[in-house]
Amino acid sequence: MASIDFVPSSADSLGIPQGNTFLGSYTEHAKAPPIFSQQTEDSRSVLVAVLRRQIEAVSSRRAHSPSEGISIDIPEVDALLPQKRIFPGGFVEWLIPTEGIGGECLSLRMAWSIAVHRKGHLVIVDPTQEIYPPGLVYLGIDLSRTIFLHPTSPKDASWAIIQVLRCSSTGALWARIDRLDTRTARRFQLAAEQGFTVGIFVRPFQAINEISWAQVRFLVQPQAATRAQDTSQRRRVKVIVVRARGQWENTAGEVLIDDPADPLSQTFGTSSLNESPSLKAASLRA
Amino acid sequence: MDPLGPSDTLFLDLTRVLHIIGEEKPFITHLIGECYQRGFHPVAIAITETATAGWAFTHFASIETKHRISQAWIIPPGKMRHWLQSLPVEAIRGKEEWHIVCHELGCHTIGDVLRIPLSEWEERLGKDFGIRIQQLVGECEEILPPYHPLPKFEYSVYLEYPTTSPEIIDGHISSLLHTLSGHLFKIGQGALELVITFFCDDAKPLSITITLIHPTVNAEKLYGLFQLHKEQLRLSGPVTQISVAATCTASLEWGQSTLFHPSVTSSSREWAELLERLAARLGKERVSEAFLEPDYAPEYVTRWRSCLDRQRKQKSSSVSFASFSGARPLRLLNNPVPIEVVMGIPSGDPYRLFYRGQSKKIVRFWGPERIETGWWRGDTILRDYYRVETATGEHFWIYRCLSTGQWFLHGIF
Repeated sequence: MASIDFVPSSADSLGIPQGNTFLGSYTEHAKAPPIFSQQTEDSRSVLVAVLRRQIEAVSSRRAHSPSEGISIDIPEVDALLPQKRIFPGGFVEWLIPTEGIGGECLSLRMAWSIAVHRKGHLVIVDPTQEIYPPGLVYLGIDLSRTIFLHPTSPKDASWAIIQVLRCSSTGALWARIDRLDTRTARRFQLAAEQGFTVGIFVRPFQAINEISWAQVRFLVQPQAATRAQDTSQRRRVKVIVVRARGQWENTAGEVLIDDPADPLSQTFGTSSLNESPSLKAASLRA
Repeated sequence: MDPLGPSDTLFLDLTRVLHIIGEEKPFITHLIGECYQRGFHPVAIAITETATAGWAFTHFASIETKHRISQAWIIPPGKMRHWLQSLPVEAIRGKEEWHIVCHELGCHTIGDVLRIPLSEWEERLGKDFGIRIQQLVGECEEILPPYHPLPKFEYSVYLEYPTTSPEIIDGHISSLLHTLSGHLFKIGQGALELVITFFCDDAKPLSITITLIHPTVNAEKLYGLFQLHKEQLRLSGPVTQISVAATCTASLEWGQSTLFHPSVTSSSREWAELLERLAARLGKERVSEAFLEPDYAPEYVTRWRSCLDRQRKQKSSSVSFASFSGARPLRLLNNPVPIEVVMGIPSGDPYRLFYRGQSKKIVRFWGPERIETGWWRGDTILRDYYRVETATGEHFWIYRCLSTGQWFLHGIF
């Protein structure tokens, strides 16, 4: 049985917190291949686990304590997250195959929950000026705590996103981004790390093949209405975590989106900021 | 200056000063010339018996012309009522709701209003309306509060040689900002609004406005905000003169810095500075808050107001989702997209829609929600809205225009 020694000291040079570091020695890896072929399944899984920890260590610069995490008050989505929480200092991507299936609705609910938790404003970057404030009110979002940015060019939009993410007073940022190159994505991540803020980005499904700096990547899939005679305006969507730091298997869950004005929906509160976030978030339930 | 409305009006009280100004016609010509020299062109001038009538003529009696020309009216004494007859009711300076009610009652001109006894108007619109009408026709005195111009904080530099060099321009602006800040600091004032004007050869002066939330004398900060504005600046030629003016100032906010618990103040300051930076780069109007108006037409419900607008501390709208009779989408298309919809017979319910070349079967729908409004805007809306769910799980907000029968996609949930 081959053994691999781990040398945790190299973390300093990368600026990685020691407590979150478990880096292996490269020289040991270089020697390893001929031995790997003789590994049993057990030792392979151990090796894979070790490599995962290493990747985890270098892909997450900051060690989060559970108290820093934010519940987004959608229990079904919370349950899909690695630590059942979103951690400030990064961004979340929602991949949406087609418009109108509820992905924007869920992502905005998430952004608002985070903004309420952080006692800050929700900033919506909307170049096309199509986000409809009455629709936000429907979701329980308080317009007096929401700022809309209407940049005229992609360059201005990415500059504004970086500025907002870099400001630690920001509650949360929400933006719909169709194209995002790796360098800009990295800038967003660094800005969020600097400001310890959270960005929520809605992206087209095609972005699934792009390299992502997001801490979590959700994919939303519509679920066809099962009962045509159902008169409530609820809709069912499937949410899949396609990437999450510290989580290796895709997880999926179903979320039922209620319509607050629907008399058949029993769980929706009003939109006052003074109410508890859990009450306001109750428009989304399983 | 008009204390009630936007500052686009200057009232001059000419009572008993005719011996100083001489004849009225030459005086008006002189005024137009003075305004032109100061960059105000075209202007509208009216000499009337009352201030309110003067405002009505200058704002609503203008003749549309192809050319930008100044216009003037001299209304002879005693002829006020006759000349006011044809002006629209909007020429009655006051609340917008007055005008709406007048139109609803079929009174579209001041003449129509004057034909109905004032007491009846007062019953419906209140005493203020009666007073305003009396002021308009000269039956009631109107007191004009004097205009006290603010002290002007303006510094200019004339360049020896016209230049387009960014380094030279930046250097001058930095120097001017430091001078201005020093002056403001001495008198305990901070800049809230700054106008930087570039005078170019053979071209109109170009101004940029920097708006702040908290008064400041920090020249470096102001310079940083100017740099953000510069991205949008397109000079039309070499610059011959640069001026920097603080057009709005306020007392500086003094506060002792705290060693412990500084977070609340610093957080709000950081937030304010973020908004200032965003407004400097994107434009003030592109950093905004939304307010809802109680209007049935979906496209008129939202009012946008800049976060840096000093008048924005108004009561927030109390419109909530309970105010709407049906669901409202998350996205409302700026221009409704024409779509084809197959309807069931004889119900007329939507059964299938064609959007972006795709046929989508409608499995559920909610509606119709009839919206019939806006006739007073001259843009009558008569629509039946449906929220529809397609077989692939998409929720759309579509409507049928009842006047044409055409279907449109208006929103996406």
